[in-house]
Amino acid sequence: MEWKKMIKEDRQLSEQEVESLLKSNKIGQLGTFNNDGSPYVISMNYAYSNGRFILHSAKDGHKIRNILNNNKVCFTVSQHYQTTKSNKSCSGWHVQYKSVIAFGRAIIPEDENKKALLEEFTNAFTHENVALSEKGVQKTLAIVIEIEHITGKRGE
Amino acid sequence: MSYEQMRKKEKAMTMEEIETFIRSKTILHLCLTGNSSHPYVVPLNYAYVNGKFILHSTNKGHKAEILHVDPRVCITISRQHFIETEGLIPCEEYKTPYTSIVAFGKAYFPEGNEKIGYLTNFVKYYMKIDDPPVTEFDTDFMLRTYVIVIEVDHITGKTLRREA
Repeated sequence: MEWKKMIKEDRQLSEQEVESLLKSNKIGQLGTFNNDGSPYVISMNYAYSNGRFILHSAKDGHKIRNILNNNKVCFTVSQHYQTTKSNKSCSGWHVQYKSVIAFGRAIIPEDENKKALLEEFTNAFTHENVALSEKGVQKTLAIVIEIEHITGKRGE
Repeated sequence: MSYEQMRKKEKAMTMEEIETFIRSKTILHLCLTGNSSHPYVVPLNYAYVNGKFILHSTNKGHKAEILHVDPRVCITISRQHFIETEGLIPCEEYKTPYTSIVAFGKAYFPEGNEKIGYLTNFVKYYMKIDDPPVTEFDTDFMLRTYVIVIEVDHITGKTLRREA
């Protein structure tokens, strides 16, 4: 696809700023296609490393069915700092934020990679090496989002 | 589309709980598809008035372009606490207390007085009792701004309470 250009290019985040936002957050919003082409979005925990996102999920559910039907997804991570209000509407108001929007494909591996991915995901939250039980791995899915296009933007 | 049943019914929120939660927040994530190859998810400030979400955007952005092709949207608003891992077994016992709502609906762009009315409500949603009142409405700015009203077709809320 042709990726859109940002209207306000001066607000674009650098690659380092994008990386640092993704590494300092734990929650993003996953957008998928419903089977009729309409959108579906939910919040999810994620781990980010080596240029891809790792998510986890129960084996069945709305998002998994959506991904199996169409694996093209959008994943957004954002941080909101402050809203400045003014007695002048609307141009006196400012919202400080940083957001990263990634477009890509979601892969649901069922081979030996799955356990390693789930461990990588878990370790991102525990900050220590946790061994997962077979039972835990069996009832969980790992979702990898391979990024095709990513941009970050700031509001001031 | 037909709406899915929640698998874990014990997590379902009542409409009253859903609305209280929505009114306690100011940022949602809007997901659009249009005829794009990928969905598009963007965080936005919102106001919630009479069961509708009011959003605004510039008149030349990606959002407005997609919504003119396909007005169907999905919204999510969520709050999450830190994941609890201490002394628990991964995948089996880890818990992240959270609250999230997901709404499906359709977007439309009000014009004229209706648009001004929605923008005024939008501003009011953000005003706290001790904020100085908004006295000056910048009409040039308003003309350059799209107001997007989301009429909700279906809404659900899910919460995993700390004690659950």
